[in-house]
Amino acid sequence: MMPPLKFSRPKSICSLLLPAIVTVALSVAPVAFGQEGKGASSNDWFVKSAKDRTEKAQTGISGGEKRDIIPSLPGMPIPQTDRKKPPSPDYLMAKVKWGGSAVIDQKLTEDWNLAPNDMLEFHKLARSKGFKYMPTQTSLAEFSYDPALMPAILLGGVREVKFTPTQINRLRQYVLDGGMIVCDSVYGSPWFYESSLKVFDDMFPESRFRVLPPDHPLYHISSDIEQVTYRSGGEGEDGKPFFEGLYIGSRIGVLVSKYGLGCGMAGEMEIFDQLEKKGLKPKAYSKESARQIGENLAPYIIGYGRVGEAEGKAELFGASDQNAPTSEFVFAQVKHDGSWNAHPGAARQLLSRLEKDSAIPVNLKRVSVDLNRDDTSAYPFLFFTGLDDFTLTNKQIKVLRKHVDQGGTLVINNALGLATFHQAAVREMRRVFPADEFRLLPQSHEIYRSLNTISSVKFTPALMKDQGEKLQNRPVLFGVKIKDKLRVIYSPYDIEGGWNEVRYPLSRGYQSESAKQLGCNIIMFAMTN
Amino acid sequence: MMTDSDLEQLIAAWLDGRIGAAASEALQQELRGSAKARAIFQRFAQLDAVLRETADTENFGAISQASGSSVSIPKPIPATTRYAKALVAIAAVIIVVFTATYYFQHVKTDRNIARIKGLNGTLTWIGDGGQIVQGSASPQTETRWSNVLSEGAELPGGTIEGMAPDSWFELEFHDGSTSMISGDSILTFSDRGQKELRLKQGRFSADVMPQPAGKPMLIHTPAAVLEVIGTQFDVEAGPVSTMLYVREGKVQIGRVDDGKTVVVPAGHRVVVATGRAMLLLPVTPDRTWAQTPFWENISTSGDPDSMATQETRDDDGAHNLVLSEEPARLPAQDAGYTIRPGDVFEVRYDWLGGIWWTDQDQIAIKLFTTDNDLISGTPTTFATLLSGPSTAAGVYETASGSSTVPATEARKRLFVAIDTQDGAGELHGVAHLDNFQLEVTHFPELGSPRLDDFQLQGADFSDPPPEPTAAIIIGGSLRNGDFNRK
Repeated sequence: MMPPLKFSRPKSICSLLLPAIVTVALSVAPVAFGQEGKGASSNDWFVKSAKDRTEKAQTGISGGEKRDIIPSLPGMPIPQTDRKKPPSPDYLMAKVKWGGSAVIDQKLTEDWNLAPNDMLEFHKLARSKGFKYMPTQTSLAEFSYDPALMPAILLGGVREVKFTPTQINRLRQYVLDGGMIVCDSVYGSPWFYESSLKVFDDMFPESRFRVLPPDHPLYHISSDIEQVTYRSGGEGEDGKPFFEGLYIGSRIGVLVSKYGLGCGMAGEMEIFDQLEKKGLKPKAYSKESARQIGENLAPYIIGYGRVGEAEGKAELFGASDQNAPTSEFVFAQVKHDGSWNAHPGAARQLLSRLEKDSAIPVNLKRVSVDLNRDDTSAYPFLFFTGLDDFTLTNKQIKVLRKHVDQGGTLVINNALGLATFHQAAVREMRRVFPADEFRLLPQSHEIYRSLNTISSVKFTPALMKDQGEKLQNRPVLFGVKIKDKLRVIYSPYDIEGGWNEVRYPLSRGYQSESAKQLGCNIIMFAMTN
Repeated sequence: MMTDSDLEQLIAAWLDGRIGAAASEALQQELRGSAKARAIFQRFAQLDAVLRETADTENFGAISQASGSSVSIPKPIPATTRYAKALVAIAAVIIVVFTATYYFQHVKTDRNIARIKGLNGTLTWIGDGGQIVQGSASPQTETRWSNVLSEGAELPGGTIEGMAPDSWFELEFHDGSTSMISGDSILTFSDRGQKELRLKQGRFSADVMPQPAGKPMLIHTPAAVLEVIGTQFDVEAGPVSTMLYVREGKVQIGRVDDGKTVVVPAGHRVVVATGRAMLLLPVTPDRTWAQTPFWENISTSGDPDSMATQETRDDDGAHNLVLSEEPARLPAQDAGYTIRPGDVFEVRYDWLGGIWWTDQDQIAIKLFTTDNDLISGTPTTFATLLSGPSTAAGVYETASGSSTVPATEARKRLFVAIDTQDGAGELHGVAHLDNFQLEVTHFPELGSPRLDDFQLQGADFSDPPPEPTAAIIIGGSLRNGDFNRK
């Protein structure tokens, strides 16, 4: 006998038919159609994992008083102003209501809530680490789209994600303003996973998804996650966690988990047996790994929420086809196929400082330069920064080579000090300058005296923890001489992040004052040599 | 110039078959140098023939012998009647005419079996009757034997020997079959209804017309016997082995040791030697420059469609680069490497001197840069690495050399050319080169720590002298160093 169906928001014949189709599909086991383990359609995956627990999430979060809701991270000094604030209330991540629903086997089954207890457990994990937030849920219609009120939202499900044009615009702006979207393919459904990659790729054409490298802060911010275990799938991951992120500046604006997290966090793994019996191939982290990732996710949202606030401020760009007065220093930044805009707003902070500390006329608008297209001859100073892997085209290589051969300076920065960019920078610079060796600039080098006398520097806590003893407060810059002139400078540790007066959790670089001094000296050296 | 009387005595002795070696040499020299002497010789020979015929007819006595002539001239003639003398005289004239015609039209031409189609360098022909003729395609002084070993001259068989690496000799049999030896090769040839050749050593190639049924061309080498019906093929014979490459048709080759035979079809080769399996190996076609990745012919007079590599005469069973002293061939490639200060380049390769390659010729590896970092730019050669003369004829030998790059060439693109260096004045020598390898060892300058040695998560600022690092730029399949890629 057909189970009774009840629709939450029946709208049309199509929506009336959908649950029936779902029900029919669910009654057929194993699944007969489609790619092996994928199912004939996403409806094959539409099964609720467990019943809601009694503890209810607060609903209807739409606005309210705008407060600094983000506490300091563990182990980091709490600013005096933070200590005086009342306890932060409130919300870290809201679960987004989306999609359709149906009553299947007398259970209300909704796209957005297939793992109904995931948020509850996520917040319990956060609470255990000292982050006291309330679980909540919201619809996209009710949502405030204000990162200060809600730093992150969770989008979980198994079926294809779709948004209206209005929702797309508002979600995009939310992320650009500093918000974060976490997508959890709760059972590892390829339908949800692939559609979420596509919808956010389309939403952010200027960026693209990248696999997070093993040294990414997400994997180390609370505990070091070097290895994970998978409940289902994961054969090709070699025991490593697998997340894809869409960078906005140096933070992840959209995080997609190909492997299910929610059920693992909630400890509800029986659903995977059911799915496998149907002939589907679910993908999910084990309970232990899902909880470990959940523990790291909360501080990452908190820490990089502050970064989002700072980097999300609007920045005026100069146009590469606008000729600045020749007497002005122009900060030209190279666009490449990696995440080239790692620290939005940082250059302006540095240039303001340079303008204040020196007599150099400075154009405060940085210019982004496409080496494949733009004429670089007007910019004797090129800044090249990134977060992850990148590859230069032959044209870009020629342009960079010509730039330094003609007396220009190229400054390369490893934003956040991650290994992936470092390896890419070493590899690609060897292509650009195959005959030249990057050498450590000695402490006595003129670059450390060109404006400020820099005898020692302060590194970020993460770098101090690992390398403090070896670095001994000495700046680390490598350089290449072309025709006996220092023309290429590479900083393997992040200088640029320090120009923004914001803390980048687990960044391996220089603290703000040291970073600014180094930045000003580098520009002054480039201008005078 | 000898007197007529002396000449007649020598001719009579030759016709009698009692001439000595020195006298025979003197006679031949005189015949070569004097038209009058040849006329006298002809007259005596005709008379000799007439007298033989007459003697046979009139049973004057057993004066014909198995070889040569034994008639002495003049001889006393018995007295007869006038009538009888007149009859004899008439008969003699008739016989002279027929005999002379026969002698020149049949006897003489039947002894020649082939014509010299072309030749080069110093050659020796040991002809019929054991006479030894040494000649050259371009004699500096005209000798009386010049026209014996000259293009178009007819030969009655014998042994031809190339006396120098640049020697070659092409023969055309009367049926149109051609054969050619090159270099230090020795070939004996004959045709008495069945062509039979003996290649004692060296390289031989032939284009054989269809032979009479049951009478294939036979080619003997120290190690093998070949039976040829009609085909094109190359043979290379050594003291203990013979290589046969059949271009068209098929050739049966048999091993002398055990009589084992194998039929080699077109496009295949086999090596016959004692104790070695007679395996048929397919020979892939020669490849042009366009079919030889990474390498190009940078000679301004070069033909891009000319052969770049071939499989025959290869070192390792695949393709080898064919080099020539001729200016139309200069293989080179962009090594895909930018020179760093402190680089040391080392080249290593196997090579083999081929046809017309002299003992003084050498392979010359040239390392160069250009004014625009393109291979077509104006070159600056900063190192020429010579192979040295060949030390082992007929087999591949290994050569190597190294060069430290001058500081002036740093930061420029590296190019490498495989050239030849002439040593004997001729510019036709061919050589084969295989398994080319170019390696660079970089000796970093001392100074501050290098980024290459820097560990992002383990920075250490000690400054040990950096170790030199070696890397292969060209070698094996890398940039087609083995010439096998296409």
